[in-house]
Amino acid sequence: MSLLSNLSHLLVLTPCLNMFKSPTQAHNSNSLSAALGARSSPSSTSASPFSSHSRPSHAPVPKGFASLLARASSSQQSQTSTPISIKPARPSQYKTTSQPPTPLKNQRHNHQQQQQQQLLIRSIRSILSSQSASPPSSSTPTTSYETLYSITEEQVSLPEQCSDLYQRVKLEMERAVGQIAASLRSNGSSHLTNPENSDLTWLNQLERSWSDWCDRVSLVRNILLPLDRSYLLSNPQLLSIWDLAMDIFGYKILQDSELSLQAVRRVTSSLNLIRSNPEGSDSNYQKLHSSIASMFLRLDSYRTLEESILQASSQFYRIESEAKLKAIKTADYLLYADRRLTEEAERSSWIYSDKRGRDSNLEIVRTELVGNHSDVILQGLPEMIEQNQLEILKIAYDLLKGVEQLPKLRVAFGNYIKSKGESIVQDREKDDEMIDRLLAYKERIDRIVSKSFGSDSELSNVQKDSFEVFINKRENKPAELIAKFLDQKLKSGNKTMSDQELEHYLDEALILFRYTRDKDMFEEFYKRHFAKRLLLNKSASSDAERSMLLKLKEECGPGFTAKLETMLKDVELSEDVMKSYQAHLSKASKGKESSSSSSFLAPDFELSVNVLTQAHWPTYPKVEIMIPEELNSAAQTFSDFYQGRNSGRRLHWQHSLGTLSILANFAKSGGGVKELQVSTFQAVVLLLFNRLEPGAKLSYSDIKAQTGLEEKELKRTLQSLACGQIPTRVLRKSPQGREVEEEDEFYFNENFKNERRRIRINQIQMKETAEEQKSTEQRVFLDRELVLQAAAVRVLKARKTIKHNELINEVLEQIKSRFTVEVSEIKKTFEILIDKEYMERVEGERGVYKYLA
Amino acid sequence: MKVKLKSFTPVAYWHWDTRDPDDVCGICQNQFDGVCGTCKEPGDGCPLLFGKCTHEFHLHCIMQWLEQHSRKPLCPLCKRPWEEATAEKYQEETAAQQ
Repeated sequence: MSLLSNLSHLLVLTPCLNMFKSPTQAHNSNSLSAALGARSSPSSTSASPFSSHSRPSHAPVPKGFASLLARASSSQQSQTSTPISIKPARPSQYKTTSQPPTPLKNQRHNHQQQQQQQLLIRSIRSILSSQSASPPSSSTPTTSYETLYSITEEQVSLPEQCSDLYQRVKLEMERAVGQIAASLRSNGSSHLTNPENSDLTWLNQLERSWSDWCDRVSLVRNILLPLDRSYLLSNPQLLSIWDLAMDIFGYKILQDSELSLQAVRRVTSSLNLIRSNPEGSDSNYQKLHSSIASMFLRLDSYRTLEESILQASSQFYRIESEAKLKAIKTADYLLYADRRLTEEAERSSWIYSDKRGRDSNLEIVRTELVGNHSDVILQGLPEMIEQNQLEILKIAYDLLKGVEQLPKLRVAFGNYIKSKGESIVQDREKDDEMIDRLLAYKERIDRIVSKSFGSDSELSNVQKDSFEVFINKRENKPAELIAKFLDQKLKSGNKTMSDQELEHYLDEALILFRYTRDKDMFEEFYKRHFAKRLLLNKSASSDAERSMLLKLKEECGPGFTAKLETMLKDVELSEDVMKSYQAHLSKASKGKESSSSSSFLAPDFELSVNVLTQAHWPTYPKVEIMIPEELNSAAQTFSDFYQGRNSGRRLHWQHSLGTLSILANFAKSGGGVKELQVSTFQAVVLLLFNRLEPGAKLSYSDIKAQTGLEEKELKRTLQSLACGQIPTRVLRKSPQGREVEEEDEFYFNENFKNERRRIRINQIQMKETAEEQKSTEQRVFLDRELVLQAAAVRVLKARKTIKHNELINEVLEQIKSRFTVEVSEIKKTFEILIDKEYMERVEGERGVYKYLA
Repeated sequence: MKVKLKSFTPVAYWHWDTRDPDDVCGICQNQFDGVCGTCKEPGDGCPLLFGKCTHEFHLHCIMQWLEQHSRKPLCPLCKRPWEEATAEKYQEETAAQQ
């Protein structure tokens, strides 16, 4: 047939072909050879076999070619709007056909038909043959596709021919696919020299065979369209031409154990190659992969492929992660795992055809990289926290969250906090720094929780619980030190920091306080520090004091701060009393002018008395001292005034808490007038020197006799005056030395030098000495015994009889807001209560107590 | 050289002026300087009441007692008729007794 006639056929056929070609290819089809040749060109790989699968079912058999084309194109239009759906896997209807064509009834009549069929089949064979890249060779009589179509139409008009034709087409297809399979097989076993290349080459061949097959089959299907539309429509148990071709290809190649194994193995090894060489471009393979995946998808074998890819991915990362874990640090490993996951997420988008596959791949990779190694990863947690690797910790958090192993992170995090925290708390040599260290530590952990763990509520609970555990690993001391820390902050206060900073410190310390169970210990120490701040007027800011009281009140309830509030009130009340006392004095002195009989003499120094409610203040040891007359009379006058105003009350002086401000002129040393701020004890000693000649000395025993101070207090006082820091040494002692001895003599330091005008002489007796600290602690322990007894009696009173364990639990419940004790302590309390006859054991019943009214 | 006093800031505790500052209220068994069973804060909110019989109680304690025995108000300790004394008078009397 001439090229011209070929072209004329083509003019008719082209639209028909176009429906099976992508639009980009349509312009190539100016000649049939071009159209067929295009199949072997690489660009033809983009021709999707799915879009070409159109079988307008239930359409009536077309009467003419033109009407067929009209229908075909309209059916194509309608199809483009419907999404391509993948047919569910179904059992292959394909069986190896060996039965011969059915014998023809009417030989003579059918002779021509048989010849026609022969021609048709030969043409189809030629089209299908993978060897022929060009139109049917000259050896076979070339027949136009239109003619072939007509032949098919004729064949279809004879029902007995149909089955025969169908079987023969099927045979031709099997043969063609068999050739493809053989070629793939032989190429698969060769190429062994360069395995890396061979995978790509082989897969390319597979892909080409497939797209080629699709092209050829679509041509054949067009020729056999009448068969599809009549015979096969009325025989639904038979596959359409297209489906048959797909089925055969799938069966012979993708379900062939050897070939499918090769395909899958080569796909996975190509993927692994890309994985292990992340810098290399993978775009070449990417295209190939999506075509191959589409093929598997179309041929209902995709799940096998996917499973194998997933398996390979799992295996790849299992091996790699184990090697990495041994080779690099945890932090680097986490970076590596994170990078791998990102890469894999990108790669998944083209490796897997659907979300399900992508998700399961990521899950597998996560499990291999993180999930299976979470224990090893978490062993590196302490180091990452120590080095404050916020970014890495964030990655760790996200990764562990991805594999749902946050519970493990919580445990590891808690263990770290506890062990590290305990090491701070138990570091007895650095007790002074404990609270500062704890606050710094807490801030660090806070930042990790907020920055790295996204303020995960569970993890911040872990933080709280762990802090509570480790702070209470050491009894009482942390509570004591928190009180001391607050004292330092509230004392130095605004001199070194802003109000906000101070508030911040108070809040942070309060959080630590919240964790400690020895609330009573804190209270006692806080009270003592608070008392000193109030009495010595050392509070940096009364606003800060109030704010702290408010915080404590919110935290522990009004009962906790009641005493502290009374203390504050006492001081304020005392100021009011002093105001009215001054008013009273000025009135009295005026009265004196008019009537000179009164012996009342207003002192020539300021007096301001703090009147305290003893029960709410810390107890201080009572110290005897002989007060000089001028001080004593001033105090006495006030006392009379106070008792007159508050009937039924009497004042008791606590001189160990008093302070004075005295002026001393150090003219000789050129120092001029200095204001010394001293305790009452120090003042009483200094005043003794007023009576002496300049330069005269007083012996220790003289001072002792004249002040009446007991030895310990006196030594301490003299030490503060004569042995303190050089700029505060108002007295000199001979012989010199650090300690005060009974043979020592004292005299005024004429050479006293200090640049400041106001000098506070360290009041050693007001300092929290180790002894005092010990006694405070002892007092708290004593109080605890009483609180325990009171709690037990309260419970007994309500219950009359109660079992041992119940009583213990009730008592623990009552005291837990203040402190915790060992059960053995509570048992001791019970013994005491039995001794005191508050309760007795019930006879005949084990472990039951009865309240004795 | 002499030193001169500028200011004096002594500290004093106030106590209820009872015969024995360490004694407890005969009714609630709390310290006089403490509070009766229901009060929280010592001071003018929870004062003492002095009887002519030289017995003293927290005001809240004795008032409750007297309410319960309103027919025949007696001092719960000495069972003499309860009569209130002013603080000053009380102090004088106790001083005289001593």
